[in-house]
Amino acid sequence: MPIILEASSISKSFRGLMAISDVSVRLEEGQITGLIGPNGAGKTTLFNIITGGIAPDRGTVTFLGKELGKLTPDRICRLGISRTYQLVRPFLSLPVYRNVLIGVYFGRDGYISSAKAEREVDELLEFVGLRDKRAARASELNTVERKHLEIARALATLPRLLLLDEVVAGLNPSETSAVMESIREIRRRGVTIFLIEHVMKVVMGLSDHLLVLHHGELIAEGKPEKVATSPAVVEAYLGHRRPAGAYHAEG
Amino acid sequence: MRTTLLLLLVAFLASIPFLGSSYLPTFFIILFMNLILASSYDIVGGYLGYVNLGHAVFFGLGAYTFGITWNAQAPLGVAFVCAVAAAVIFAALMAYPFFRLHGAYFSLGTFGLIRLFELLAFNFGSLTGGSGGLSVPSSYRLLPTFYTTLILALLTLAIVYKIAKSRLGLAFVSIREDEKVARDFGVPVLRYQTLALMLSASIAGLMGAVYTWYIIYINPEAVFGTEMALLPVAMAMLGGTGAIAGPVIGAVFISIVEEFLWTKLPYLHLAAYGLVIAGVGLFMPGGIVRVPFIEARLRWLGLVEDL
Ligand SMILES: Nc1ncnc2c1ncn2[C@@H]1O[C@H](COP(=O)(O)OP(=O)(O)OP(=O)(O)O)[C@@H](O)[C@H]1O
Ligand SMILES: [Mg+2]
Repeated sequence: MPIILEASSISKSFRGLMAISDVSVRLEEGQITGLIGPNGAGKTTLFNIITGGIAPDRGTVTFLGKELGKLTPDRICRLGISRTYQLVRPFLSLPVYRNVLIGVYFGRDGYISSAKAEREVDELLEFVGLRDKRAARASELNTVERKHLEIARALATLPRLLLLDEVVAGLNPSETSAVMESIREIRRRGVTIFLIEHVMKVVMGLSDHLLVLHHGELIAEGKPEKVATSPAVVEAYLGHRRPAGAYHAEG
Repeated sequence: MRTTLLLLLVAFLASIPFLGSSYLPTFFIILFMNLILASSYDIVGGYLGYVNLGHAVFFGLGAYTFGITWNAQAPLGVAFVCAVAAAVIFAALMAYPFFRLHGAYFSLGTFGLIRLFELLAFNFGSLTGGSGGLSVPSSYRLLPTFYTTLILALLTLAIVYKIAKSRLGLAFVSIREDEKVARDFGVPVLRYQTLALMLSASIAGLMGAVYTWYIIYINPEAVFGTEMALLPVAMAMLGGTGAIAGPVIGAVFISIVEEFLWTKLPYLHLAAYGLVIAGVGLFMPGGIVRVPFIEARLRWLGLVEDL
């Protein structure tokens, strides 16, 4: 499978603290790649670098053969990378459908007619189960619904690559399996997925490939079953007094 | 039904000069001017979400540019065009540095700008007449001004309505809600901020020109003073920002109060604007249009958008 995104030797520090240190990542097209690591490992920072919100101190990101360089987040979004946020950030005072409409109108390349845009918004809301909340303000949604809204908004931009930052955190088991099914369906539609996840059952169940970040460094990668039991990874989690297997207690 | 109501209202407004009072048109010119300033302010203040205390800079630039070019023998139309151009060009220039500021910093920065322009108007006497002010040739202009401001007011509302319903308005409100997220979802933020400011400036600049043309004499205090700076903001906030009816209601309310109460207490204007803003924040967050009873009725009239 071709490589859709390559991050090479990325480093980023915040006021002397190394958040990401010489990290290289290759995402294969059509795969689900999982990213795990203890709190503060630098996972979200890596996402922010890929989407252009944070400029790395060193290193390059190449997407579909194009170096992203100093491109702004809006350009990167239109090139086909979209995301959800660890702490959900819907446009709170806007109705649900307008939240998604923003992705449709601005997140894609080219022009789309209003009629077609509205139709696509309805399809997306149907997909995430928010059809009947269409006209409600995003602020009226509960956390679970807001997570679904974020997924719809991200899909609205027609991404080639979707970055999911702890989407199942805070969901109960049945909601979690529903979201896992949605993620598989999104992949079936041809979207490559890069997901940060603390719940081991979810990462192990979804990922084709797994990366482990610890103190800003990539300490392991490969097949999920192999990586999760590798000594370095167990050590990293034990260092935080939380064995990898018990990590799903989080959230 | 709604269209009929609105048409009736417009017909009534247009017939005001024929009601026999010479006082009514004067009052309505002020009201229309207030409405135009409040609504054009709200493009940036309400939809884009940046409280621009420097909105009067555009008004004043339009007022002075018109006066200066017209006095320099430019044809009337050219003078109006120059006034709008000055305001719009300045808006385009200030966008980049000022939109790096957020929240209170943006407001304070733009407020500083208005003091700067007041100072410039005072000190470039050869151009502006300094503290002595600037006069333009006079003639009878009451009714022409009445209809010009009426049309400009309707045009402003039409523009704001159109923006609110369009993807342009959607980009503006997404920036208001969360600039970073808007950018992550494809909105070229600075471009839309600049566009919003230029649109807002074009209307205020034109109003400034009409003001000079009507009032014949302007000075730095009248167009760049603190009162002019706070007036549009106070009206928009009182009526409710980010909804087309808000600034209209605020402008009507303040124009009436100003006319019947404050003429007797001229020096209290400023304190009163401050009180209005504080009072709205305390007792009516969101302004008059967001009072549930009123919001329901306005919604029926299609005058409150679900942004
Ligand atoms: N914008 C920022 N400014 C300063 N420090 C930051 C910023 N973003 C992240 N950091 C710091 O960088 C480190 C890595 O943070 P990051 O959010 O990437 O971790 P994470 O792996 O996503 O953790 P978590 O599992 O808690 O979400 C942390 O120490 C964090 O405090
Ligand atoms: Mg994180």
